[in-house]
Amino acid sequence: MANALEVTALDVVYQGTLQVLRGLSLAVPEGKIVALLGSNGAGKTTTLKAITGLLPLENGEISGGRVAFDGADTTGLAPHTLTRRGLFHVREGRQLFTDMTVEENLVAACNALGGRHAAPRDFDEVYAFFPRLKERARQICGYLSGGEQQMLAIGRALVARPRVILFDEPSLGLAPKIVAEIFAIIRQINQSTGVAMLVVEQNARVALANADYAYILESGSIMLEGNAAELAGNQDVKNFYLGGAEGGRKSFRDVKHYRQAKRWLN
Amino acid sequence: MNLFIEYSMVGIASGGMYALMALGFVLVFKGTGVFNFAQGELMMLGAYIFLSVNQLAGLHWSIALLATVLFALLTGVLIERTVLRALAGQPLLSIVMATVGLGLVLKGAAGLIWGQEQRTLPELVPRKPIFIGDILIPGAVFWSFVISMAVIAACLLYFRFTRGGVTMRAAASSQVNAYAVGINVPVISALTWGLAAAAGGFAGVLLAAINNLTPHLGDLALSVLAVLIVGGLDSLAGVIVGGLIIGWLQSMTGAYLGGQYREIMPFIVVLAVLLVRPHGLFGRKEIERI
Repeated sequence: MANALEVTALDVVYQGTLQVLRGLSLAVPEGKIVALLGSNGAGKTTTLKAITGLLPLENGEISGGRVAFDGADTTGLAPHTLTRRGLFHVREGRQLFTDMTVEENLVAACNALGGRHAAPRDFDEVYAFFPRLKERARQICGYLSGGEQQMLAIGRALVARPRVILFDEPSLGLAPKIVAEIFAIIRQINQSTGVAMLVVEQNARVALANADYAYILESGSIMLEGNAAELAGNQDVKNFYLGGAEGGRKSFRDVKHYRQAKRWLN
Repeated sequence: MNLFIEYSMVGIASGGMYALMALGFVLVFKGTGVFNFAQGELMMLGAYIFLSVNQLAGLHWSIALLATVLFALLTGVLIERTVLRALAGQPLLSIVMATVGLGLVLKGAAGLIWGQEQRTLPELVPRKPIFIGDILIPGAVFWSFVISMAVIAACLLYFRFTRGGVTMRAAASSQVNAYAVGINVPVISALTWGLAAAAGGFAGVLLAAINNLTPHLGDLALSVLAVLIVGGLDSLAGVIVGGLIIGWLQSMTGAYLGGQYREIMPFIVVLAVLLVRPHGLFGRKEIERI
């Protein structure tokens, strides 16, 4: 199956000196959900920003490699151009226009259609997935709960009718129950619209449970990749990302072992 | 009592003009976070363009007004493209200082082109006094109030109900997030400057038609600083309320305390407002979820 999004040997440098990504490659096949996992500072968010062209806004640049969207090289294009072509980035921490109403946020997202589709007259499609947003359509979105804000962030992506959605930590700051709800909806959107997704997560458990394929990122390079189910069963992944192996807590002595094994993974 | 009502009405009506003058400042500040010290000079420039088209080229005032607004719009876009774009990413102070410099350049250029002498614009607004009951309001004050309110109301409606307006607000709210939903931020910020300059040019024509026109007309614009601080630098509704409050206060002070206190009173109110609400009566406090 063709890849909707392909990243090849990507190098990213901040402020001309600080290398964050080293030769990162990944692919998101059409209609699939791909998870990108990793600990703090591994370069997950940077990867997404590199793909959607937001790096120059933070003094970063792609110093090597290429990003291909829909078969065409899109490395270094302006962010709004990429969004209009159908690459939608749901940024970390929702990043809504907090002083505007729910509906106005959806209206603003119509800019992403960029002439590919006519702007919708109403947002029934979004409200069908998120009935709660309809009740709050005229409220200032800064006052919504965290879960509702994440729903709105996803709603904006729906309005944009993208080919690929990039999610940056949709679980951030949400209660476990809400996280499960959000991921269920993400899956549902994937299945009903066929949009491909790249999901960056720290919550490896929920991400692996919902993704088709997964990459594990460490210090700016891909360390491990495979089918999500396979990775979830991998002993190292269990140790490092899923909170320990079977058999309950480990003794302090095993922490050393953990370090050794991690080196092995490298 | 009748005198009180009359002074109140005249004060509130003259506040309309303040509100219109403050509009351009608010548009730019809301849209790009920059306080544009050259806004007054844009008003002055607009008035001179109107004068040139109307009197020197001999065209009807309506055509001259249209030409003025279009010219001002282009000027705003041009300023954003050249001055502001070149300074993108620089500290805010540098950008604000650049607008101060721009103001001086425009003022000097206007002096060179049109001379320092006072010019008189044709009467755009009827001078015939308006009677409400037995209260008399000077025609110029009354009509400039009506026109100002109409322009500001049109802006309010535009920002609330049109996609273009919502897009501008989104870009003002956060540039990165605006990019991420597909908004062409550079174009929007150029348009914002254009819109502010157009509002300024229009206000300039109206102001010059009531007062007289010299290259120093722009200095009057800084007197609306009080309006901006009272109303909140980023609020269109605040501009109206702030303008009316300041206009009323000046009229009251002039009537009861004497003309020499007229210019001081607004700033006393500003101090009081700053103590209670540092972001102005209608200014936006950041919404933070904890």
